[in-house]
Amino acid sequence: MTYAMRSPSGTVVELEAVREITHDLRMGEFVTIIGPSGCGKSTLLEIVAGLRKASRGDVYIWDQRITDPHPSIGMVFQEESTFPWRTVMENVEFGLEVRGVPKKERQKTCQRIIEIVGLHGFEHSHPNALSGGMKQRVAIARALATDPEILLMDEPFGALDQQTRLFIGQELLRIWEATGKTILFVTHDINEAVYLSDRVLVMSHRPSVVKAVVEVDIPRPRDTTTITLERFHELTSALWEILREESEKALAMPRAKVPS
Amino acid sequence: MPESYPKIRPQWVQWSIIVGFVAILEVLSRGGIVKRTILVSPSEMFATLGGLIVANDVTPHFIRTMVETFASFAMAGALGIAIGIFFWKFARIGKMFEPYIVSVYAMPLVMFYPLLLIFLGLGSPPIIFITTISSIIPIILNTTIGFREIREVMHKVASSNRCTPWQTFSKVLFPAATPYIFTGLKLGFIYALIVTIGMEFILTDLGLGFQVHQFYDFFNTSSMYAYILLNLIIAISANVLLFRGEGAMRKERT
Repeated sequence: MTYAMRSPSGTVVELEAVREITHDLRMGEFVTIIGPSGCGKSTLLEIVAGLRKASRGDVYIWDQRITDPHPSIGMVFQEESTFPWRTVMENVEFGLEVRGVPKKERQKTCQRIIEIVGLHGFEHSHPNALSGGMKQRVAIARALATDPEILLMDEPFGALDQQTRLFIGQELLRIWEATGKTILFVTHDINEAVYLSDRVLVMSHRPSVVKAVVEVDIPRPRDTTTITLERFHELTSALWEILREESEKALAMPRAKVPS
Repeated sequence: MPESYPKIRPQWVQWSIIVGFVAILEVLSRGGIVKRTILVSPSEMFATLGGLIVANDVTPHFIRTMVETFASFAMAGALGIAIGIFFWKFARIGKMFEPYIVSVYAMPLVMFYPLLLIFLGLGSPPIIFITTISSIIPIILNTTIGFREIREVMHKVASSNRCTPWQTFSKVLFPAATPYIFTGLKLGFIYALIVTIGMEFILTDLGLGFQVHQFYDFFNTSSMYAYILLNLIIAISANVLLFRGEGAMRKERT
């Protein structure tokens, strides 16, 4: 999968961000992509989301080739992306509103989603009144409201501190279990990857290939105590072994400017 | 270093300065230190203004000034937002024209009044023309900046929700740019008011600015100050209201 972009000098260069990612997601599975920074994780996710066009290679959902954003895919972004001019309820309603769902109906759906993500009582607050973690829950609820089959999450907790990340990760697992979505999650945090996922895809440095697939066999339900288990440490150590070499490469190479 | 001076509420200081200033003016004029032909006491200004209002002397001038201000502002608002959006959407054209817009900003447009007199005559048309040009500049610039500053992720949220171009504009981009647009409108309105009153000094036969000039010519210091006072009250009230509105909007968002 290559990706054409305009370099700062204005010429079109073809950056081979992701070389070979041939991978099938199973329904209801939680899969995490991990890799050194700049390996094209976000690019890959945006291609799956239909927000970027791959210059080679295809993404399919049930034999349907993705070229544009697909109604069965919801996306949560790394950056803060709530609408500050809308209340929590209005933020969550957004996807259904643009689809033309009547107000009563969409409010009923959204109320349920708001309760699932644990924002009950904040329906009429504006995002500015919420913490960083709560704002990301609003973004998650907004993505869930249109009932997508697949949820793409691009380092959604990247801006949060370690402890908040653990707790919101636990919340995410609860939401995932409650809704049965398929989640494709991107992170550079090894602990987060093992803690959350069924499988972890380890990407190499650019041009990226899937270097390894690690099955996480820690039983569910998991919670914040999972990180103290022996098996957790074995898996994170194993992942780090695979990743270390790639991260060194990433650090040694001058970074090409990849448009976000 | 901790602030060690006694904590006084800033509003008290602000009001004290105004009250003190008015008191000094009162003493200067009543004590005969400054001649009546130069300065009348603030209490007399208020009394004269009250008399003029009761006598219905103010009304036609007030209406004229307000009509000119709001007509100019309405045109500047509608056109300015549209042009601002155009300059954002067609960024190369925007970049091309930006130096002109900024230059108009720095130009004392008043100097064109002889030309305006020839082409548009005396009265409201030349005033509305020049006021619209002054008022539109900050509206264009702030609208363009407002749309430019929208973070990329907002566009992505719209795309991933499969918004139509109109939905993207009306439900995401325009609301995201609103604080900047509002700042542009606030400045635009203040300019509209200032320029209208200023231009009435030279280009018209009616209006609050015209009255100040008129009474100055007649050596009627008391009425002149009454109209200056009224202009101040209107300008300050408009300013306070607009800043409060802006404050309320920002509070909701940040």
